[in-house]
Amino acid sequence: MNASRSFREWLRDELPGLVKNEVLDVASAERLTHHYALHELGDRTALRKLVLALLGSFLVGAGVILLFAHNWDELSRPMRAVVSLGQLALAQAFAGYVLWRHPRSSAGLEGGGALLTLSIGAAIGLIAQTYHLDGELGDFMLAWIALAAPLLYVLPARIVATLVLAAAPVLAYERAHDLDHGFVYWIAAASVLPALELREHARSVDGLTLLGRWAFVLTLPIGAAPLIVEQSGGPWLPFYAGLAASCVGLGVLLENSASFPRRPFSIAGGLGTVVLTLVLSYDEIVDEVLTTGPSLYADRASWPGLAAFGFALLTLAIAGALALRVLRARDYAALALIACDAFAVAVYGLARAHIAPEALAIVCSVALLALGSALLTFGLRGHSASLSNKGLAVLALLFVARFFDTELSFVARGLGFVTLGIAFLVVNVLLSRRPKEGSAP
Amino acid sequence: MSSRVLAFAALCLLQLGAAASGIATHERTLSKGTPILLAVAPVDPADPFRGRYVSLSFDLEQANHRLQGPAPRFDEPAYVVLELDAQGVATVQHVTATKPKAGLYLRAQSGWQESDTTIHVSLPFDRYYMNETLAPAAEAAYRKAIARTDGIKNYARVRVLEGRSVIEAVLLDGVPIEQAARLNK
Repeated sequence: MNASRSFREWLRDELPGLVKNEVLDVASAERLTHHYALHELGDRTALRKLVLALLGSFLVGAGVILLFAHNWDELSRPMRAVVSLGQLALAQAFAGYVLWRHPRSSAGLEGGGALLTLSIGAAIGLIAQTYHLDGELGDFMLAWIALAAPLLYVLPARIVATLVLAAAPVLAYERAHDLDHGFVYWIAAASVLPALELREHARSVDGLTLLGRWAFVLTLPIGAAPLIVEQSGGPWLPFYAGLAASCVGLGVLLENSASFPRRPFSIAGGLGTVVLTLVLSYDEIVDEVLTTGPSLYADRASWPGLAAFGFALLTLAIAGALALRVLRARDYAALALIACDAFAVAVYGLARAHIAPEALAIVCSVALLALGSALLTFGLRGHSASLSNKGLAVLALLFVARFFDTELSFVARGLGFVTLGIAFLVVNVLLSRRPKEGSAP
Repeated sequence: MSSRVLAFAALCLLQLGAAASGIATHERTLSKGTPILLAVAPVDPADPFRGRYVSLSFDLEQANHRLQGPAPRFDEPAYVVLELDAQGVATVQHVTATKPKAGLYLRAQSGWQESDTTIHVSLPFDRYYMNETLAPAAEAAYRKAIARTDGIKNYARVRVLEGRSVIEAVLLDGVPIEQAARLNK
């Protein structure tokens, strides 16, 4: 189905008239609706309502926070208490009314959820201001998230999940040097998982759920860092390899043949794999894994260290389980990416076994070369310009990285770039002549 | 009424209760707590959600205090037992890991130890929120005050009740910081 959106919208508007005038029968109209996936176009009026409700709630909520932040001398302490609790009660009343009377109104629920989440922040902000309470931004956000996250379980507003996910990395970094080592991020992230609705077939997933998924894949690597990266023994390497492979696997299961904005897991997994392998192709990084080895970790066995390795094992276990599903789906491009992540874990083991970092870095460059070549080959075989270009992009990235940190002559580097550029042009010209394009991973 | 609406109502009560209990606890400390004065040095930063404030650093946090009993672990609760002079200025009698049963004491956080018998503490308040137009003037007023050489003292007036504490006012040479800021504008 390659029809443009405008055509599909025109067809959706025309179909009722065609059926009414007996140009088409109901069964044909239904087949057309299914073929062109017209039900995915959604109701524009409902979408407008949703956007306006969210925008209005955000503006009101943020405005109230800023008005409170002015710190009005004229307000006595009792008056501040009334204002703080009153605005929270009003937001609760609004969200509660929508939940009770209009439980199917997406705009009302999402708008109410956003307003109530921001009202909680305004209320605790005003109380902290009135009583000059101690605490950095991380402590404030912890209280905010602790009060807002449970909303997800009673108020079906996915925007609350996105707000919590957006705030969680800030919380992790602010509290990274406290006793919890950013561990609170994991509790916050886990609390919103049910709202991500990990159901199969992205076509049936709406925009706000996708927004939540994007927030998840973008914030997880950042929010996890304070706990994972700071521990000795290098648990970050198997953790991020497992995470990237898990995302690739989830992408195959949930997002197969969906368009770019509907593929957060595939894109994050692919990018994560390439970036991780590229990072490992620098011997200083491999050496760092060695110098923060298990002997040092063993001396400092602590719950953050154990938790970091526990999370690394968890992501690897999830990746392993998903890899079997990908194998059954015969998605070879995704399998190549997962193999690359598995290779990164093998590099971790070899680094532990004191294999020379320079040798491992070279092997990682070779792995990236193999990955780029594999994607290019699968793209050419499947007549997919998209997949071929991804393979060429990986190769180009490797060339750029290597050409800037080796002692090759300017002529050799120049010829390499020209060759790669010609390869890009030839592959795209050849594929543009083909009548059809295969599916991308 | 569905169970989801009832659960939502319960959650709303929890949110309101959490906010109200914060207010009630601090109001009780302010109304029934003992006022003490702590020597202070304010500067003026801003917080995106709670507004402008003067950041307070206390002489008491710079000093090394006598430790009584076993030492608390680093960054764990420590109780600062206080004594007051005739003007109400607080000094530290000793620091202990165990909550005192009576007397004037503050719940703080333990800091680093120079020896087995001494310890540093971190007080549970370091911010005094002010009106956004007054906060910069307050810092300027403070800088002007410390430039004087006639030995003036700046204090935070704090109410203390059963270990809990709430800052009531910041005084520059005996004048509330808001008033000093207005005079300095």
